[in-house]
Amino acid sequence: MSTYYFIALMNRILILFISFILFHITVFSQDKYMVYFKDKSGSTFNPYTYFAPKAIQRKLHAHISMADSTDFPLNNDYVTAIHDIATTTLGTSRWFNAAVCLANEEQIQEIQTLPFVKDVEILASQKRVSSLEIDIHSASDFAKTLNGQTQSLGHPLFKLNDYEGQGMRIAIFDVGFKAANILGELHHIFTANHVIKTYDFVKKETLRFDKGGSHGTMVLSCIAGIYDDTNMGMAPQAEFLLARTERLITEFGSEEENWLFAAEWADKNGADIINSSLGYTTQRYYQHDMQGSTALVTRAANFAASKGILVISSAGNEGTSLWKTIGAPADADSVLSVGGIEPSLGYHSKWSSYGPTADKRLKPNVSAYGTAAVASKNGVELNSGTSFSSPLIVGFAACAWQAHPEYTNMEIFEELEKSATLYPYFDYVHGYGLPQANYFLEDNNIVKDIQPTFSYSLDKNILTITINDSLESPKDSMLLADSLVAYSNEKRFSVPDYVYLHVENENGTLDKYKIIRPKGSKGGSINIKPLKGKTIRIYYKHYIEELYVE
Amino acid sequence: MWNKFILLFFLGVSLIAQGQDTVLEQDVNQQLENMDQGLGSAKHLMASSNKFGFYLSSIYENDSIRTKSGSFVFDLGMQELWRLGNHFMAGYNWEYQFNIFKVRQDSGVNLLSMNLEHDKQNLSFHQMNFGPVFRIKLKNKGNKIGQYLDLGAYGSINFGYSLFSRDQVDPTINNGARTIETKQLRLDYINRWSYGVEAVLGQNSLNFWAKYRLSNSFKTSNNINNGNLLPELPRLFLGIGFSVASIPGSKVND
Repeated sequence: MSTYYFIALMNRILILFISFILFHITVFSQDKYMVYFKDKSGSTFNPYTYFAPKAIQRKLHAHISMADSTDFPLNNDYVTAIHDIATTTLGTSRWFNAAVCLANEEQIQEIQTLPFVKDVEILASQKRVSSLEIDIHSASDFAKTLNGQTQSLGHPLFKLNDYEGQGMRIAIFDVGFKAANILGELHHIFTANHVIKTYDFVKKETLRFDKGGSHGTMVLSCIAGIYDDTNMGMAPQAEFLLARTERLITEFGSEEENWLFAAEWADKNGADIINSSLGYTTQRYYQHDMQGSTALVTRAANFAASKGILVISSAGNEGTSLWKTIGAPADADSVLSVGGIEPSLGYHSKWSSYGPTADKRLKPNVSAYGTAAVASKNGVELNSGTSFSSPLIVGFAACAWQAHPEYTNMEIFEELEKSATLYPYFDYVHGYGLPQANYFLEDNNIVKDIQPTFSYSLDKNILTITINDSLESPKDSMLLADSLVAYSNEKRFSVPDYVYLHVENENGTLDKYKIIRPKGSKGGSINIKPLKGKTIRIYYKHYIEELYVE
Repeated sequence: MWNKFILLFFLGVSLIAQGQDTVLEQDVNQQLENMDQGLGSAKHLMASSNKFGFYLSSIYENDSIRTKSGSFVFDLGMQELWRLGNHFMAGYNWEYQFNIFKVRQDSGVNLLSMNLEHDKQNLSFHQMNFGPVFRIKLKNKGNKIGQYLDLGAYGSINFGYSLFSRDQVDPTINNGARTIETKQLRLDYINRWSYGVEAVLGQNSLNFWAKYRLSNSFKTSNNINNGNLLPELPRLFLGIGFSVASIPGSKVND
């Protein structure tokens, strides 16, 4: 190629590049803003025509006012005024009494001067879909994971009692549900007309199953999928509201507001539970923002909980990244955040995000398998991420709530924590551990006599734990459900029982925690000299010892 | 000798027997101390850079070479920065730069062949730049890089020079050829080394930059212009760039 033609080629590349940059400048000189209004003057509202009967039923059960001003529509004049000034209006929120718009610096300054505008907040963030791909799995791993993902939560007990999510309505917010309507694993949901409503909040149209990502399809399968007569999720009889709130590929300015719009839509259409397998982290937020009130999606999740909805979110997959901690909305205090455990090890998957929140509240609250058999357009395969831990707990929660309809959303939240394997012990990667079905089917007022499974001794500031394996493990009786189905050891991972130990400070938050794999009768040791004034708790096979270091 | 081996063996066995198998241990306070290491507050940043620029024609020096539109500079490089307090960073840049000067033939100041105007005359060369950079963080937006001003200097090694010219000619007196192109390589009159200063005003991944070359492009002594200095190439370049920053060893990027 001669220099002349090379230069001509470079000129063309240059023009293309400049066009790209100009496009970039044009688009990104504008930001997305949330404009809050001072009041809703002049708006009228009839809750009985606005809410679906299922939503009214939920609100009455939870003693939530039907004339709540946060459900009233916005003042149309206010919205029109914003629309006239801004480049475009992207939507409105009744809960926040706000409009979301795209505007440049001058436009937003003009909007701020309007007498009915209370506040303006800039929005821009990037979501992380909480799933990871793992390439290599053996067929044996597949069978064990498929069986274990629900049986580790005690699924056979719920199934035996016919608790499969009947009458529960679950909303899923995700990046797309491609092929969900044609997969055999989800066929029963569609033939039973259990997909009540769908909406694409990205494109503002009815959801299409032939487009978008299939992450939501995988999530749905972890709630309600059935593969070869084996449950992938625990609530195959539940009803569903499917909302696309995010694009699959990383966008320049993502759509937390779509999550909010979808939550209001889910509330209106009678959702009992929301599953969110999306996490919002680095692009807009610092870790110190993960304190339960900063991110829009966190505030929206808390709002949804205040409407009587049980909101369940993946903790995130940032455990091995610099971010490390949970993402929004898993930091919300009214959101049940779910961490992932590695099925073959029986404890924390290293990539599952760590708690606590920035203000040191316990997160995640509970755990489930972090690797699960999921259905997607490519068939059934193993996939990893807290994206799948969360819907496994959603399916569980639907059955538990079905078994105890007397509970409100926050009561079932607490009971889910109490039912978990480690409770009342906790740490910041497992929460209280894996919820167990038997808790919801037994009389929990009966005090159980749990024999000590270990003892400890002190010698020169070294606390030594000694395992007492001669006693029958209470855990064995909790897995009574195993005998109710053809459930052999070959079909699940065999994992050891671990010693869990944490150190709590005088403020009630943890300073450190560890998990020890016992060797024979040796359950580990810890130097307590630097722990004066702190409380040590040790857990082994449902028995907990607590000691205060003086 | 054997005694030592036996002693070491029993010591090893004893340690294994005594040791506890801690599969997970987390110090919460240490974890919280390490928070907020996002792009806006990173202790250590690396960034790729991709720049396009033009030679500014309005402030040419007297007797310098005029260039036509279509002349440009293209950079591809990397930057590494370390935090100096909350508002400053310092580090280095290195980049490959490609220069095309489309020399105007009607300005009265020509590069070579002063008495001959070509239909086209392009001087091109490559250079590798390296130099220090000092960053002033103007405004962080959330966890993003935010707005910043980089001030730096660079030294370059130049290579791969070529001077291309093209003329439409009368085929009847040029052996039937309508166009004659010539390309001169390995130009001895260009300085191998150059240096200058630069400034970059950026917001997240987008930036505007300016470079000013302090050194002369051409050697002071040469035998191609009757021993006189060649007219100088433009010194000021302005451009736009695109940069992707990341924190080494993490997934955090912008």
